[in-house]
Amino acid sequence: MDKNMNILIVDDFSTMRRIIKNLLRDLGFSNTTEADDGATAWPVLQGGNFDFLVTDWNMPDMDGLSLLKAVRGDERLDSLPVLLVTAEAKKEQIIEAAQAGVNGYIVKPFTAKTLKEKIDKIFERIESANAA
Amino acid sequence: MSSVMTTNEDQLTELAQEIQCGNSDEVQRLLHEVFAAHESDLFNGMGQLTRKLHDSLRSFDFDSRLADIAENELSDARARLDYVVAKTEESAHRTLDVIEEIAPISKQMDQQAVAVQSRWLSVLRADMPMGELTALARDMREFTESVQTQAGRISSGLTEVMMAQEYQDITGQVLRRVIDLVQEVESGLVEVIRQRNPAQETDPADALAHNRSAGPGACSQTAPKGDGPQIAAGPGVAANQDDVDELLSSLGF
Repeated sequence: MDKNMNILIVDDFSTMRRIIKNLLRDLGFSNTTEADDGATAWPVLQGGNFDFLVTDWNMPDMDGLSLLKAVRGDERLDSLPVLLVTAEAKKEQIIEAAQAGVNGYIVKPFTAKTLKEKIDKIFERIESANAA
Repeated sequence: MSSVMTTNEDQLTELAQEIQCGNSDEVQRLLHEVFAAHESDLFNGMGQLTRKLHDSLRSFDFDSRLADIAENELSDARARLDYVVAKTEESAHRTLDVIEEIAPISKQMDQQAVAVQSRWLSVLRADMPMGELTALARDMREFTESVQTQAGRISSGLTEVMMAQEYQDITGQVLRRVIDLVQEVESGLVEVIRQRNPAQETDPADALAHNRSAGPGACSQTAPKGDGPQIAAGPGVAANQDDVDELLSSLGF
């Protein structure tokens, strides 16, 4: 896991984007970009070299699940690690996200510790999968 | 009605007889009676018409009340709720400004303490007059250790404050749903008015168009998908992160 990795933060609430950006910075990840919707995030993902996507679920134009599915369906982006950080807490939704290929799922309200743990776990899994 | 007709016939028959007999008083009296009957029919008819008009006017008042709600009050409520969202966002950002300003200061304290500490440790190791310098060095070490501890506490305290701002995201989502609900009610009422009073068609439609374009960008115009933050715990709901993790690992994720 490279602390310099390029991270895209997507959430329609600017306060939440800011909180996640600050938490990531505290964890040593300073290379972050923001988008306010799945729709605005998609061209940014297409255009840049992102190593990690942290996204909300509920967004007006294109929601996080649709963004996840678009990412998984795209040739270049399909193995992009995706972490959902969302207030959606119904079991069917969690299952749906898992089946769509999300790497991690954090439910709001969350703690800084949880964010760190989930990120570590995501990249540990990827590294051990690559090593295998 | 039929009894009035019968009375009229009898009266007319009687009237004819009295005319033939030349009883002008009786003729007068009977003429009065016939006209009185007519008048009362007319009077009843007028009374019923007046009642209908009155009722129509009252229901018209009700419709214009609905129009008023649709055109004015609901858009006020929406504007106020939008304001709440905007204000809480503003407040959250201001707090985050303070945090972003202070956090580096706290880190700086930590770094300065570490730097001072290492210099003093090298002073401790060098050959110096033991008595004074040693005591000073020990005091300094204690000081720098305590500053590091305090800086650590400030840092976690600040993180706590930052996390406390997340309420704005959740309340914002709830508020947005209320705004969308209110908008639905507004559209529904406008539809009702339009159906009942085609003559009023242009006004509510204009008002609706005006409200849509005048609304601030923060307001979601489409119905949100998903269910939003779960306000109450329930069987189909993951109450916290542990529930989420448990569910995912039970599925092998």
